[in-house]
Amino acid sequence: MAKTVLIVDDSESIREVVNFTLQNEGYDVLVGVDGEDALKFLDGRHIDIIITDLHMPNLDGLGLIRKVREMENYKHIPILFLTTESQAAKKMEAKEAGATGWIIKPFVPAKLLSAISRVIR
Amino acid sequence: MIDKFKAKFVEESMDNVHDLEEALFLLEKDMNNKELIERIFRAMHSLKGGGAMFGFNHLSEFTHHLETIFDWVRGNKLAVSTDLISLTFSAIDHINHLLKTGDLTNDEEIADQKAFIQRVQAFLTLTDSPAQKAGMTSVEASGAEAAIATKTYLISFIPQPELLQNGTNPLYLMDDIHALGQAVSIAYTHKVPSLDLIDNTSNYCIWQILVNTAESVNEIKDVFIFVEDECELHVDQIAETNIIGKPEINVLIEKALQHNLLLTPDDFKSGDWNKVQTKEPEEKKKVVVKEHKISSIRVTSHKIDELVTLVSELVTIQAQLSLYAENHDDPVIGALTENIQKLSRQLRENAFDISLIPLQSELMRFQRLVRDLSKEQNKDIDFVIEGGDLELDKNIIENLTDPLLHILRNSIDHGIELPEERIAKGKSPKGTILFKAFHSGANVIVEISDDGKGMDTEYIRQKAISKGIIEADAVLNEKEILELLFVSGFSTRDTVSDVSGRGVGMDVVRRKIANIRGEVTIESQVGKGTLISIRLPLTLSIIDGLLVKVADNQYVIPISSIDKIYALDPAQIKQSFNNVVIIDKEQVPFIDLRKVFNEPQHQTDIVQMVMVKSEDKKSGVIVDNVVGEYQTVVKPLGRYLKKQEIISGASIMGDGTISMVIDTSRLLQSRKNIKVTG
Repeated sequence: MAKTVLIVDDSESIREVVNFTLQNEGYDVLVGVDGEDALKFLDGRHIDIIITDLHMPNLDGLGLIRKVREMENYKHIPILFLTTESQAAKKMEAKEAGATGWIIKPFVPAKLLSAISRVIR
Repeated sequence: MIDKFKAKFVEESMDNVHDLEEALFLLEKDMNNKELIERIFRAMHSLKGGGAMFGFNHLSEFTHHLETIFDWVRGNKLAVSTDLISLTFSAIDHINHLLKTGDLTNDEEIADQKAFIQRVQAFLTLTDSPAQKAGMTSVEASGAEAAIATKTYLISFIPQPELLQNGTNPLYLMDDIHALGQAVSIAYTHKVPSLDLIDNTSNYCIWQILVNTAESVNEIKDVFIFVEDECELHVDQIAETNIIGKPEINVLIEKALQHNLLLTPDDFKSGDWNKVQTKEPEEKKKVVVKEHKISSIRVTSHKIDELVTLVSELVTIQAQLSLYAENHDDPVIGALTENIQKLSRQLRENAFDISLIPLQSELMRFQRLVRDLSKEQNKDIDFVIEGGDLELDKNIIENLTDPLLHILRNSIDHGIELPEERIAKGKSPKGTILFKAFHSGANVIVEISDDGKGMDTEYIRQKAISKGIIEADAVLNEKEILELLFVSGFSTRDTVSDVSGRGVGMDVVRRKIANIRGEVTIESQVGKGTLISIRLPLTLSIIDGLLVKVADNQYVIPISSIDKIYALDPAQIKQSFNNVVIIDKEQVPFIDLRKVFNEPQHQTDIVQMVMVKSEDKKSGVIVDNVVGEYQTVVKPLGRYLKKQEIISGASIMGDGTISMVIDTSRLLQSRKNIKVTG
């Protein structure tokens, strides 16, 4: 069965690239434009992994991760975050919030896919 | 595949830059606003991240430095200052340039950018923060070690119980290790409690893996990168060759499992290992069904234009259908027609609504202009915007921007005085330019007013005389003098400044606005300021008109310019002198459309005069009779009829005939050219 990925990013171009890459690989893709928007997908449906940007309006990535970790249905779902920050501080913060891992932007499709396959199969 | 997204990225980045600019304006007024700083940072961040992904490397590098600045600002390591804001503004221009050109290619520009980055870095070095690394994290420096020989490593992976709670599946990590080369994993399960005590969100296992791989220790550690904080991890080289599968090794593993004692590198010290290699095939993923959900879409304006055109066609056809239904007493067609009419009206409203865009989108440019020019001229100007959320037809906004920029330039350049001058006049040193947009009936009014020095009518008069625009003894009232500003070839400044007066005068402003069926008026008071008011239609493609008949033809006069309608005796016109009739004891100039269109004289016993006003002129327009109000889709005239000044377009009537739409402001202006009857 196809795995369902929820992408959350406020940048349309990033969303599209990720979306395109994942669909090509056979993933089912859900797209949220920010944390707030992403929450609407977490309505009981099956989602295998969330990939979220950190800096977003309304509800940012950290906020989203914390919220998801409190949701009974989703609290153990893998969450990867997209970041350009190579600083450890940001990663630590996201990890503490409950993120599973991260993907450093810029990424090539292969890197994105390998990061995902690191947490879901 | 990336190329496909590049254009989108640029478009989106333009929005980002726009947002950035807007936030920066607000920040300038409220320098401690955290939310704004966050917004700016976010915009920079997106530009940088996207830039790198889509091959805009210079853009990415450049914004990286800016992002660092705003990251510091965010972290209170750097304070917002006017200098910082100015720097960021010029940075925005540079970003715009980068987005437009794609990327820098010539050396000069690259050097420019370097210099710019140094300026940015100067900001960072001014502060005494320790973090000084402004270098861009390089993209993928793949460690291409020419290591062909494989080595065997012992990996000890001792996770904390919480490992599973962040969505990590340790078995995948094992898989990843297996993908590196031949591997054997050992799971120590002695800490797993009895079934009734198991908490299924906790991890109780410990793993050790022997792997034979060509990869380095770091590559192996990379597999655990997501979990390095939730586990104890050791990677030790235990052999220069592949020792996996050797009987001695198997014995060691069995012993370790029996006693629940983890293997240590020392256990492998004795042994003469041989070289054996195997490879594991990589698994492939299947392609399955796709699902795609996006809540809003972006379409090209071309598509919207096309939609509006199609809807306009539909409205015309529908009118024809209505007419047919009226003339044929068929209840089925009648009912259908009514439904179609309702639908097409909704569709039309919808389509026009889509093509409306908020004025806001252009306001940024105005704000920027005011800011930059006032800085340049050392003037202190408060630019106040009211009604920026008002929506207008895209085509109107496109054509409105240049005239508005010109008017604003004039206000800054000629209107607002220098602070000292203002103080001397007893005004506040800070000048105000008010940009106001609001609805007025079927129109939108855009006003730009300043509290500057106003227009000196005597000066304008003299200037007009010296330019030969008016006679020296011409008697003009104040309004008429201000009107002179719109005459082509008039420029009030003696010296042409860098700013306004670049050969484009108010006459061009008026012409451009007239092209979008708008009107410009000007009011001014010496010492108090100037108000320029622009009246615009809501949309260009549809018009509320009054259908009138002249001889055998029908014409449409825009309702918005109509004041009153009178019935007249044709004799009154015949007896009139100088095209003026007396109505309600007032002299009213008139234009006889029959004359304008070279039709034979009236045979009827009554004619109608429609009073129209345009800008400050008012005149009667004589027509045979008024048919009624009519909402219609205006089509532009073809190339052949472009020279027809007083006709702004044509409309197809329900019965398929064509009626011309009269451009009232041009008609009124043409009045002086009409032959005077004796």
